[in-house]
Amino acid sequence: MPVSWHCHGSVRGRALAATASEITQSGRADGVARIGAGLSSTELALRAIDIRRQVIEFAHAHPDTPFHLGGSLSCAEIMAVLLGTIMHTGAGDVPWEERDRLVLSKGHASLALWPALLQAGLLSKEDFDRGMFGPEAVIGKQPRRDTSRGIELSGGSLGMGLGYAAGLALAARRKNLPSRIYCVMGDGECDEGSVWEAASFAGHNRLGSLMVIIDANGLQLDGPTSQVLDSGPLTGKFAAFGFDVQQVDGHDVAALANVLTTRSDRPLVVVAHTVKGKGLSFAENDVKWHDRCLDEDGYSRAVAELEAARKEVLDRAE
Amino acid sequence: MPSEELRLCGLDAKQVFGETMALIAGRDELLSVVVSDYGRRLNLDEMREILPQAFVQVGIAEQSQVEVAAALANEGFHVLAPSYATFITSRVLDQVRVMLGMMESPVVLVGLSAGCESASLGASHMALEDLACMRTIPGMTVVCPADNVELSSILQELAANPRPAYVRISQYETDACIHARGQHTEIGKAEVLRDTPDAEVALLATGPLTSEALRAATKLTREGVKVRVVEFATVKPLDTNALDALAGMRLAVTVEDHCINGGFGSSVAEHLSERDDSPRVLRLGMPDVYLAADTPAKTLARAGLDANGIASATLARLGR
Repeated sequence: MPVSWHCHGSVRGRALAATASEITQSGRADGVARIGAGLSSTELALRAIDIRRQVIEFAHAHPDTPFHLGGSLSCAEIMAVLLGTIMHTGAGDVPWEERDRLVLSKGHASLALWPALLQAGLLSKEDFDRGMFGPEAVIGKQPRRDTSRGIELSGGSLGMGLGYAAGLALAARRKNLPSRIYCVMGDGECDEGSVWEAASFAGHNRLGSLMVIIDANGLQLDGPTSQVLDSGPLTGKFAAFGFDVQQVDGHDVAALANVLTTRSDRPLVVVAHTVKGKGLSFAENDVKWHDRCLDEDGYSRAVAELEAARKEVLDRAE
Repeated sequence: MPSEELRLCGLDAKQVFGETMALIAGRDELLSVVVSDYGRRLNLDEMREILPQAFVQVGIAEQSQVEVAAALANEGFHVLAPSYATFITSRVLDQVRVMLGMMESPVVLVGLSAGCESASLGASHMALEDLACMRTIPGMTVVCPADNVELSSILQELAANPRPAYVRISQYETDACIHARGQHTEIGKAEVLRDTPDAEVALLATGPLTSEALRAATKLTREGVKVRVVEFATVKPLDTNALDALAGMRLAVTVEDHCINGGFGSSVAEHLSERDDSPRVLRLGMPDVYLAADTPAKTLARAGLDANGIASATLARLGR
């Protein structure tokens, strides 16, 4: 499998309160704010582009397999920020038991998880080289639980991640661990009733270490979420269940990092407004790209557009 | 002064569950009991006094119950998740597939009022498909205790050595005491409760109807039938050695308070059908329909699952 990957190392840090204020002072994604122990928002933005690039490399390597490209591309910044600067993944000097846990509830976005885990040093190039299918594969179209690699949940069946994440938060409380639990869900996924069972539990128990990020890209398999089953204002719903609620531009790494450093005795939900298929002009906001094969022409265009995006980020940073 | 075994067998199984949890709480601070608004009837107050943090309430929300339980289990806690048998199995089958099956989370699901114990509430509360659902999940241990001694012992074993498991609790009489001397087979091992030299018929039972099978055996013996009675407390993994030991016998009769399809009897038939020297199989269980509300005793009798029904069905199959 061709792996075109630009790894920026696994620089992380715990001094997030200070970095949050730095981000705030320097304004939104201006390309120079320093986040974490050395990662700038420029570097995070580049990581998100690298994630997108790897997403399309996966698709390009399997031209006959439809991959969930739209929902993987929409959460690239979320993954880059979580694994690049927010989370203490246990790959560094944080004791493993005290690591933060990432629960990817929308397992269909695994294509974005793999490169982010590689960036964080939790997956290796060798893991990628084992392919995406068959018994030897570590990565694939859906995650399989493998905590040693930072994969907490076996994905594929939607609506189970929040309850599992709530259980992890409860376990961390009972074990008196500093760990935080991050759960990434889709807005379409919020159709599942189990999401609301779990939200009720998390709110009732004031699970303050639980941070939920909703990749609100506005589309699901059958069309716009507003037409399939209008979820209405997710913010109001989660607030009613006892969550703190924030909304951000889900493609703004500094805004994401900033909001994810807030602390409270309530669980937090961040509704990250995103664009499905983000980064590929021909795929953006187009439900056909929920899952689709990527042909050679599409791949070439995608590579060119992502290279242009990379240049734009670098130009802005200068 | 009755023995501890007889005392236990005289109790409601839910009382035994609570007592056992209190017992475990006293020696295992990792114990966790995740309930879905079915804690009060499980007599968990004593456990909560000993280990308050062991009690986790999720409300009437079994999907959340399984997810939360799985996370706690994977973080090292020793987790039991009790609820009405039909709700903790078929209602949450996909959660069980993912959390206990694929993720191998060592949660012990506990199904209460299984079989037709809650027959008076009607079909919604009769768990007659739960064994079928649970035994098709790869890696699951499925256990149906025959009495309270066995129930308590199995709960303690699973709490000490957690694994993805389903414990099915049904109780039709509070004096059933097959294990009055405290002995119980280990998980995965069937137990011969009664045997006759050159036995021609084996009654294979799981769960509380094991008592009826023993009574039926007495009736059959009076009719001149040479009977062996084997209790399969563990439905999965099935003790195939105990089944292979039936080679050459005329008839194996399975007895369960579960739908005749997909449960213990099906499991036995699947194994025996693949051997040349197997006895013929007669499966006794609940019919393949949703049943009207009634008392458990009448429901069981109508299904032919009391001692008389088991004996007469066996004799009929033998052509006597």
